[in-house]
Parts: sequence; structure tokens; C-alpha cells
Amino acid sequence: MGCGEGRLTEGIAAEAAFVLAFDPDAEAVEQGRKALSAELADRVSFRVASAEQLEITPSSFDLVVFSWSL
Amino acid sequence: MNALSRMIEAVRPGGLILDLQVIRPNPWVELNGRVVAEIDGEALFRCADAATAAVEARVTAGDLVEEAVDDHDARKHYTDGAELVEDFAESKRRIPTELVPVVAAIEESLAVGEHCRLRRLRVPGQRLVETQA
Repeated sequence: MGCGEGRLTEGIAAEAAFVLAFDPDAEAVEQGRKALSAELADRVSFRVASAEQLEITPSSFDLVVFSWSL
Repeated sequence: MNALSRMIEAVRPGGLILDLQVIRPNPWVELNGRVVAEIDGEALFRCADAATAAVEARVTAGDLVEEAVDDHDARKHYTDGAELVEDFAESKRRIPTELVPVVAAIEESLAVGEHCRLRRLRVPGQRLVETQA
């Protein structure tokens, strides 16, 4: 949550099967998308949205990371 | 704080929330290991205070269990001072006005350091299920 330009996304993706990375800042999300290494790209889904806007299935994630963002 | 409620709901019972926040004192600009400017982080600290209070309330209510806390320093690196100043243009943190031209004139790579607190919080449902079983 609050992935911004993906400062933490790469490291999280390296350890995860799937990562949903989202932030309301479209420009930052695009930077994050571009910065992600190709070998991890299929593990990460980027969205431009706030936590309130995002549709998430309850109890569907093992881990949530608040990246300086709550 | 609705975002927190939504994220707690998103985590499976027994799952984890990692809450990373900035903490006082102020962040700093670092050049070759030397501090060259202090950044006013108060506006961001106030947001962090509100977030921490929201998490505390959920811990007190039993919706989250705090398992660990780690304080550490984080650094974001910049090619030069101009890049740093541009990055801070829309930030809640503020480089003091008189230091903006000083930082912007730095032509070497530099970094912004900040104190951070990472809290590991568990959504306790799984434990309750295990206890009942």
C-alpha cells in the first residue's frame, strides 16, 4: 500500500509469489512499473488507486506492507 | 482511518501487516557521509503520528497483535542536489528555504537519510481458530 515509485516493491516481489502494488500517484506508479526488473514483472500487478478505492477480496493476502503510507 | 480497516480485512487470519513510518528527529541531507542540511519533517511526522494512533487503537481493540518493532535509518540516493530539490518540491517534508540553493548546487551524488520504525503486526484470527480446534 502506497508503493510510490516502487522503492520497496522489487525487494518484496523477490520474496513473494504475487504482489499487488498500488498508489494514487499515477506518475509514481508508472516509474515503479518501469523500474521493476523484467524477471519479477509477472509477479507484480500495479494499480493507480487508494486503499479506499481498491477492490480487494477479504482475507486474500498473507502480508500487507504500509510503505510510509498509512 | 478507513485505509487501515480495509487492509486488515484484506489479510488472511494469521497474516501480517508491516507498518513502516518515519519517526523523529528530522531527516537530513548527507554528502560523503557528512550531514549538510536538516530537513523539516514535522508535517510528515504529524501524519505518521495519526497513523500510529490508528494502529495503536486497533492493537488495543485486539484487531492486531504487535509482535516486533525495529527502528532503523533509511537512505534515498540522488544523482545530485538538483534532483533532490526537485523530488522534494511536492513533498510534505521541507528543505529550509535558505538551504535550497545550497543543496541544489551540489553536483555530487548525495542522499536523504531518515529515521524509520517498522512494526510487525499480526491479524490474530488464525490463533483463535487454532485454540478452538
